[in-house]
Amino acid sequence: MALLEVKKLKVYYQTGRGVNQAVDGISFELDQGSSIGLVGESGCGKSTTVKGIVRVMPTNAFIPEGEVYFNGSDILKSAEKEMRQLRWRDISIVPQAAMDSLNPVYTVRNQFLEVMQLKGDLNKKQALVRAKELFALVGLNSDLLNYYPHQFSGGMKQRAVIALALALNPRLIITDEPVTALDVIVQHQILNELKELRQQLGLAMVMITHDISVVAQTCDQIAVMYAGKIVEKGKGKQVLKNPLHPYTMGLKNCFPNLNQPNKELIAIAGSPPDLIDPPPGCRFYERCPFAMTQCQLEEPGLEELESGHLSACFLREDIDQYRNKAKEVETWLQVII
Amino acid sequence: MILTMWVIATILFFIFRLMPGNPLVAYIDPTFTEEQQQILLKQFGLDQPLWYQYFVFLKNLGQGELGDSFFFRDSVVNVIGKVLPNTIYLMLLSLLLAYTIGIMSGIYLAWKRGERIETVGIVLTLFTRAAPQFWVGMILLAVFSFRFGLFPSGGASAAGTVYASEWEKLLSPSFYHHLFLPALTLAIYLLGLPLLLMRSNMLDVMKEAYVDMASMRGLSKLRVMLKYAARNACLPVVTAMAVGIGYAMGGNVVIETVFSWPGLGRLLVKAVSTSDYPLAQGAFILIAGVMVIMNFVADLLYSILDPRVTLENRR
Ligand SMILES: Nc1ncnc2c1ncn2[C@@H]1O[C@H](COP(=O)(O)OP(=O)(O)OP(=O)(O)O)[C@@H](O)[C@H]1O
Ligand SMILES: [Mg+2]
Repeated sequence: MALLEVKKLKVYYQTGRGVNQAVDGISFELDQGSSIGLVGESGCGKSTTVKGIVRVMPTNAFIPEGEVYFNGSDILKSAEKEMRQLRWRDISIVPQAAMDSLNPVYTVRNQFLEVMQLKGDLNKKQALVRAKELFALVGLNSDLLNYYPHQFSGGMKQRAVIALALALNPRLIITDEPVTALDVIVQHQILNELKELRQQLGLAMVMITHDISVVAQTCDQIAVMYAGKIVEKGKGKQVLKNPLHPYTMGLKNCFPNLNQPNKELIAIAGSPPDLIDPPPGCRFYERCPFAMTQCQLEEPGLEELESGHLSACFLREDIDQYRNKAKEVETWLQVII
Repeated sequence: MILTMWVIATILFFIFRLMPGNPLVAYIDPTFTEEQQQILLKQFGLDQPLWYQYFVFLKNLGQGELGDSFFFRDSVVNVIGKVLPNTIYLMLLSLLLAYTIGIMSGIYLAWKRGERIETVGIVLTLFTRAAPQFWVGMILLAVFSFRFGLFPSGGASAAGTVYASEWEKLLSPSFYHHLFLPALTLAIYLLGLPLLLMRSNMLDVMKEAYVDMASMRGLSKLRVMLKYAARNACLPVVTAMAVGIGYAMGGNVVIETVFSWPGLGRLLVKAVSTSDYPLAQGAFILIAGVMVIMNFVADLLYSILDPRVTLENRR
């Protein structure tokens, strides 16, 4: 049985202009101890997915449809009180804005002890010991516990927030852009630490990022999101080596590749469609260099093209040929926006 | 701070000297001879040139000496000292009421964002804020005092009572009985600021990542609201309160008049209307002093309540 199973989850926002279909029917599953990377450009609905899974959403967000099974039970149907039990004990989060995710007027220690005493049933002494242990785990000096969040550097704060997420030995940790705000060196360190910690503690992880090369380092599976939908999903290596969806091919071009450091970076022209009134066909149609007439009319469903490797695109044969074309700048320049 | 006080004192000094009206009218009997009047003027130092009077004034001020009131024929310090406690009690009680109720209601309204109760609450608050103080005071008097006789209609003590000391006054139930209605009137007026400020700060703070994260940590809604949202949202409100004390000191003229409350506000009106410079000056300097000090206290409080702020980097 999978630890987490998200089925056709939809999370919408009620806005002044209409309903924003930010997350529109995504499905993925995750086994105990394994990891999945959720990749996609800004605004594709990654953070919204997280908020929907744990149901801590802004007041204008709602879930019209979908199921989220955690450990076999549908937590979208469970009461708020049960959800509260689940949060942090079973599912913890390293938020996108780790920098401002701690209360500025209390010490870091206060916030560590709070969660451990209230949620972890530890007494103050045990909690303090555990807090020091956690700080050591992420490579922070335990004296720093007495500091206020503003006295931490960005990297220190990020580590502290990771430590806090590990506090109650959760089974699943969701990290939302855990390293985006940091410099490359610290990024690298923290990603490696995260990977080690995960293996050491045997926890499952959903890692959210817009940088596809980051997930390659850390995750077993990759799901590529575009405009609220998953367009490609598969094992990490599969997706990265042999992308099936033109969007994934384009995304690969956007980030430096360690094996080909001199390769030119190519951006995907244009921007995602307005999700308040999304187009009827493929949501990537306008920006796709290989778009066909069919794509504008009909929405391609996710289909398994290789074992365990799914793509939502009408290109189902001779994909090698497209992959090669996608490596050239000219291909992407053809797209007329 | 000293500089601010000096500027205020100087402005006050000259404003009163340049105001029309002879201060001695209150003091001098028309039957006095010209000679007697000159002697009196000399006694008060009013025959000296203005610049000389100014330096004498500053020197005395430096020693905490505010001169004598023309009208009460007593030292200004004494005259003010007699009414000041009454004003302070009135102010403290109403600030306490207003800020406790205001902060709690502000939190509540922010919590109930978008619900019907929020609209009702805001309309009511705007109403209390817009209602003239004398009108609220008179309604309260009409209802509680004249109609039901629950509270006395004015003054700070029952007719004929004389308290031996401030302590005795503070311990007497009758004093609070008298204090209640004016304090309530002032509190109703003061309520709007902390309430609306708290509510809007709460709404801002509730958008902060740390509030969401507290919910994601599975903490209870009440805890998230109080420890995470309200604790951060109250910072500017506490500052506003310290500054509000300064304003409330001098701004009670209307209420003190409606309730015949023997406080600083009424004294001030009398001093101005009788051209009693030393008294008016003294009262204004006191009020200004309290405002300056309270501004300083506000900074101090802020640096205590918010670890990100230290006094050094605010200045
Ligand atoms: N509170 C909100 N109200 C209305 N729309 C929202 C709200 N929050 C997010 N959205 C919209 O939902 C969509 C998805 O946002 P989301 O934050 O999930 O993106 P993301 O993939 O996490 O992006 P990023 O990489 O920039 O963090 C965006 O179009 C955004 O405008
Ligand atoms: Mg995001």
